[in-house]
Amino acid sequence: MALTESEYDRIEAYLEGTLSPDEQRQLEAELAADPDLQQAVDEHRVIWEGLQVPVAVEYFQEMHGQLEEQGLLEFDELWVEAIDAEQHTSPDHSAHPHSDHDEPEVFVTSDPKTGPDDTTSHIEVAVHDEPETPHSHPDHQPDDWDTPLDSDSPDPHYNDPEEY
Amino acid sequence: MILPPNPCSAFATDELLFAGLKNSDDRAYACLYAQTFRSFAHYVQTHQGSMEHAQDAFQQGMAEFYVAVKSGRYQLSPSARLKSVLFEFCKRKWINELQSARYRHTQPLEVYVDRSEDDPADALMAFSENVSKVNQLLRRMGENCQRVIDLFYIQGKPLVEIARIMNYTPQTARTKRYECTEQLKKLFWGTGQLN
Repeated sequence: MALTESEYDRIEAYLEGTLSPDEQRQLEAELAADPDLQQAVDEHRVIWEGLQVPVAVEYFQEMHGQLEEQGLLEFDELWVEAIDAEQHTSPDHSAHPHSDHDEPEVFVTSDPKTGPDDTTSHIEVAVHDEPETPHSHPDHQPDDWDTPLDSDSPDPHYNDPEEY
Repeated sequence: MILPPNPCSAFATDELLFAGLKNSDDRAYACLYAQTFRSFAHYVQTHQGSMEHAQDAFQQGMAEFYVAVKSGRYQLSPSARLKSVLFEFCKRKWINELQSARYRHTQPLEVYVDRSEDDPADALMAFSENVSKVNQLLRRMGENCQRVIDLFYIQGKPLVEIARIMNYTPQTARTKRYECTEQLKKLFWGTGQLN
C-alpha cells in the first residue's frame, strides 16, 4: 500500500519525532489497528532513513573539524611509538597492575579482530596511576580524554552527569 | 557547533551516552566520535587506506549509525560497548569497500572478522546496505526528481522555496515531492520503473 499524499506530512513528522504526544499516540493506535498503514510507514521509513544519511555526513564533517580544532583527535607519533613499544615489550607488563589486560585498546595493528573492546581495564589503570597528569606519560595519552565512560572513574566529576 | 573541552564529561556510562545520542546531543556524538575515530583511522591506515579514506569512511559510518539510533533501528546492546559496536561496524564497511571492485585487483586482502551470533553490527550492516541502495537509486532517477528530493530532504528547503527554485507552483512542488518519493520507494521495493 502506498502512503496517500494526505498522510505524507503526518508520517514524516512521526519519523522526525516532531508529532505532539497526543498525535503520536493517535498515529500509533492507527498503526496497531491497520497493518497496511504500518507497512506503508515501514516502507517510507527505509527511504526516509536513506535520505537522512547525507545530511548526517555533513554534520559529522563539521564535527570532525571542531574536534580537531580542540585537539581531541590528535594522532601523534609519540603515542604510536609508545603503543608499539608496549606491544613489543610484553615482559614489562609484569610490573604493571592488570598487566594481563594491558593491551592498547585502540591499536589493533597485529590483530584486526580486536576493536576497542572494553572488557579490558587498562584505561582505569592509566587513570588510577596518575589521575592528575594524564599527559605526563606517553602510555596514557590515547585514552586520557575518554575516561569518563568508565563508571568507576576516580574523578568525581565524571560520576555526576547532572553537573553538566 | 560548540563543544565543551571534554565532550565525554556528561556521559559516565554507556546508558547515559546512549540517552544523549537518542536526544541528538552534539556532545554525545562528539564523545563517541572522538573515542572511536583514532582507533578506526589506525585500522584503515594499516589496511590499505589513508587518513583521508579513514575520515570519509568513518563519517559515513557515523552518519549511518546516527540515523539508525534516531529512527530506533539501533538499540543499546547490553553485551557490547557503543564504541566497540561503532568500530566493528565501520571496520566491516571498510573491509567491504576494500573487497569491492575498486580494490579487488590491486592487493590481496587478508582480514579477519570476528563473527558471533547476535552481533549488534549485523543489524547496522543490513541498515547500511539499505542506505546505499536508496542513494544509488536516487542517482538513477530523473533530474527533476533528484533535484526535488535533494532540495527537500538533503538541503532541508521548505516546499515554498523549492517551488521558487524549480519554477513550480507550491502545490506542484508538494505533489512532485510526493510522486518522486513514491517512485523511489517503488524502485527500492522492486515494483517500479525509472522514468
